[in-house]
Amino acid sequence: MTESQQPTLTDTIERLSRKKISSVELTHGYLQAIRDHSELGAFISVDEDKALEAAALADKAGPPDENQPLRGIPIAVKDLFVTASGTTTCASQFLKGYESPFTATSVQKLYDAGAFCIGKTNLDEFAMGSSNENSSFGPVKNPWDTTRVPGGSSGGSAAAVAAQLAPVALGTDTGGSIRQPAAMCGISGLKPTYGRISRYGMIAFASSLDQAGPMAVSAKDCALVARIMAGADRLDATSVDKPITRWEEPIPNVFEGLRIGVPKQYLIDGVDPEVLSAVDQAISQLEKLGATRVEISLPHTEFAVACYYVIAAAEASSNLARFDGIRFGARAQEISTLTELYERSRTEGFGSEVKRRILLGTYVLSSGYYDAYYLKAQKVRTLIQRDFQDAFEHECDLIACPTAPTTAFPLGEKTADPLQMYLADVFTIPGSLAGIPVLSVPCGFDGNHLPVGIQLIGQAWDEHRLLSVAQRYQEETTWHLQAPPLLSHGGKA
Amino acid sequence: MNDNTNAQRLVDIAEIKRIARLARLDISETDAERFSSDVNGILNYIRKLQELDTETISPLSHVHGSHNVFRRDEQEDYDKREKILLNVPERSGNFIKVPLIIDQESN
Amino acid sequence: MEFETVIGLEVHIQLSTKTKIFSGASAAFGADPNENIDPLTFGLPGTLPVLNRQVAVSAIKLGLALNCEIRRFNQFARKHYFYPDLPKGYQISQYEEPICEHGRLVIRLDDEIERVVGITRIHMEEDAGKNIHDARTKSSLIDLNRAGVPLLEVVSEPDIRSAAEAASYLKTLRQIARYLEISDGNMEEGSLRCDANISLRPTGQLKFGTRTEVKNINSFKFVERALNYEIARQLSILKGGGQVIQETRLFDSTSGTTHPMRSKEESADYRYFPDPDLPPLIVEESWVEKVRSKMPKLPEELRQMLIEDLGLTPYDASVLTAEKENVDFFLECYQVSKNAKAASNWITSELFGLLNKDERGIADSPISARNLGELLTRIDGGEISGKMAKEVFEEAFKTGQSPSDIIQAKGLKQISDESELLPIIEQILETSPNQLAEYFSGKEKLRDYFVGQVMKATKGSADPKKLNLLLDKELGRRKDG
Repeated sequence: MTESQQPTLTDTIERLSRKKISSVELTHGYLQAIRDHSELGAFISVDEDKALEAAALADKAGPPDENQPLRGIPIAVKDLFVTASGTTTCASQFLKGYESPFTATSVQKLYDAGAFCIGKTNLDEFAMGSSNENSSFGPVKNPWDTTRVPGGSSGGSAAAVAAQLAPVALGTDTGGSIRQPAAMCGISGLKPTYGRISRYGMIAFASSLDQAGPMAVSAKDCALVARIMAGADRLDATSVDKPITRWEEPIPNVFEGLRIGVPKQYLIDGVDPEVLSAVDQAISQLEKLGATRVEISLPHTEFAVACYYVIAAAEASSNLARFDGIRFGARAQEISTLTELYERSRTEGFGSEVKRRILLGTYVLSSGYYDAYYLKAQKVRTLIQRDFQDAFEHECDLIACPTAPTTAFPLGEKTADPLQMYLADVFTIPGSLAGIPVLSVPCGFDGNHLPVGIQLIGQAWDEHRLLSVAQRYQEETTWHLQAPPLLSHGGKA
Repeated sequence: MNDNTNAQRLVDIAEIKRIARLARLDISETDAERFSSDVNGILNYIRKLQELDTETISPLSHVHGSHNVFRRDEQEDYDKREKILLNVPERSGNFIKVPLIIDQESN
Repeated sequence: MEFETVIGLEVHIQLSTKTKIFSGASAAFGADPNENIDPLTFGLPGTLPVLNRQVAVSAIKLGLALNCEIRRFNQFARKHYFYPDLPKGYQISQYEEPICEHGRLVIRLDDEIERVVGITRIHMEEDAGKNIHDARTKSSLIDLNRAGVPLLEVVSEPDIRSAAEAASYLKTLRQIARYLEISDGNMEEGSLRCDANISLRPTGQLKFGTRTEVKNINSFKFVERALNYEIARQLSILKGGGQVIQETRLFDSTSGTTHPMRSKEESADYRYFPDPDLPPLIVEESWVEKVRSKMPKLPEELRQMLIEDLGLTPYDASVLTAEKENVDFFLECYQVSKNAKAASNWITSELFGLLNKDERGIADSPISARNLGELLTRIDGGEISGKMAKEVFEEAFKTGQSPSDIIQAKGLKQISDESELLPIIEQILETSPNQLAEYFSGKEKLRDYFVGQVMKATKGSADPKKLNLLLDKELGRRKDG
């Protein structure tokens, strides 16, 4: 029903290199689209001049350079990655106008590969949310239905790619913040293995869970961008030095003997049957490509959300302690004592969800509760990680399941009940806790023509296999190429 | 999934206020009530972790087994000091200025 | 009722690494305000800590020197509190699993009495910045140069029984840290900071009394003073039938008193948890052994050696081993001269005397250990007299010239040749018939007179040993004749 097809990053690179389009033209087009679709609220800041300057520079660069596979490509960067140019806000009043003296390692690597930033995308404040309604710069709207949420927290990045405001966007994923909005906006998104991409320059939410990753039209696009971002960084002690190959080139015969595990625990109440059916068909498609479907058990799945919210809130309460109004950020006005400085700066600077999580996190770490909550959650995390290790050791090579229990829900539907909002992450959280790579790709639509995403979960450091399977799947299907009606209806603002 | 039938009030308003002070948040009476109710809802959900016997399970702090990641003791010159200081809300020369800290060690 | 004092010390030793514990910013003392900063030191969003390996090595060294067990599996923990000099809102420290535990330190009182103080733990952590308070403008100024400088916190068992013992403990700890070259131990620059837990209990009672924590003891001068003040304060409360309140008190060096912290401390709730940004530090036995094999000799071992093998007095041995530079100087000097006693005497009296007058350390001595050794060798070889040596020594100290050059330039040489010395002796005796007669009639003291006359005639360069020998021979000959 849509006439236009989503252009992939891979296609765009091809057009650029064949000089069918210049980077300046390409950038002009995206900047125009950003202005046309400003009602989506996808961006927090856009520096048109800087972007065009960078594009012009790319156009003037010499012959193609294999170290610069992204030359002339504008990228949308979640406003949680610090950049030395422009501001970095994390969608918080606290950081309004904050100018970082340095650029995140992962972003710098993309710059080094020839890309440049077209703008910083909207998100839930400090990445805390599943609907992008917690931004102090206003919510992001889903390009497929602007009365609905794009998912979160990387909602701006997801909407930007889905609405063709950028060929690729960077997201961050703590409990599903790349995958869930990717699914809800009908695009592909990869959360790599924890430690694969440097966290240096990502404003930390939950340090033991945060991972950066690409969000793009296709799995191939994600593969290219992710492998450029990947690699050990001497500035991030948790980044790990592991071999990286050309992930955009699928492993030959990847389906040979491939066992896809389908966890029985994921068939829980509250999962939209239309979602289940789309995912089921996708798995059948993978079977046609040569994979075998096996039912597996991840027995501790039902504890994942509870475990996650203890750990994530605890780490967040700690990571957000530095936002105190003393060295940077918004210091409250007319304060006379130090206590006032702290309390008023933080109270005025943070939104409700951030405060809620700081309170929860402070509580679970506080004296007398640590063992019952934090230590307990860390132990349960061990069990959840073991579930996956056992499955990969004995039962399957990768795991498939829905990315989110529902398609995009209406704006405002869950804002009153934080717990219901947290449960929207039920399928994405276990992979985060285990620190393993997970890819979400589009696999169909529901009755409202809202996109459905399927997650492919792999063993640690097995990104290439996930990306290969998804690339082969996308060679056979066109779900990922469908553009939202907004674009084909000429629905310009 | 949220079993509210035997929900307990684990955190009362006074406790929420104590936690808020600890976190340097100045929350109003209404906020305290709302946050207390929210946090209770979440804690009651989190209580399900207690169903699991984890006596013999070791806690997970770092997902991968990497260890001994070091820097060498070599100075790295830094030339963006001015940009760092530009973000300071209130300065006195190159010092950061804050309201008088009352009674502490003159370290 | 008699009371016994119980003291436990928490000492922060600032390490003398080039850079901070978690970033490459300079850790040097004395820079301009907020000069030694980088994004991590400032706690800027997006920064991550990476451990300076030298800090772990220093901790292992100190742990070995204090006879500790070294923990294999280490994690860093975040300790949360809000304070303007603490950029991240938490301090990266170690909590339940310190790198070193269960050690002991031998301390000494008056060179003779030995006491053993248990070491509970040593852990690594980062320092905070510095605050300058200005009551006039009602503001405090923050300098983050010191934030992130590595510290080792050494916690003792409550084994210390007096202020003097506490001072000795602190001195010994500082001495060891300096021997290990992990810290300059400079208390005035804050490289060594001490908090003390003090309580009193009736002598013989096992249970500890209520303790106070005295903070801010930041100078060697004040350690005993601060502790004695607090001991006396508690004693007078207890003797008056009162009760000591458990509290934190600050030492005020101007008044020499302690006073309770005015602001009511919130009941501390530091919310420790393992820092997810820092992977575990695993110290394998092989690493410990490698560090052990490179450990320098420690002061106590050297002191024993000086006493037992080289025959020095315990006092001299203590003086020489107080600083590593001193004992190194001594040993080098001894290498040359092979006369330990003389080397010790010359260093502790002559050299230290002149150095002290100029307020200089031994590192700045204008006379090298080797040169001093050579000078001592010449004395022992009878080439020059002690008196001459002293003159040469002073000249060398003043000018920086080597003693040999001075001796040669001045033509200083002792007369010890019989053919040169004997005629002088004979001439003195010839020209003093009265004194000689008195001497032979029993006034033996007059022998000194003859010695003096010879010395006078030779301007003091007669070799005393030889002179005595020849004089006795000559006197004997004349008596018999």
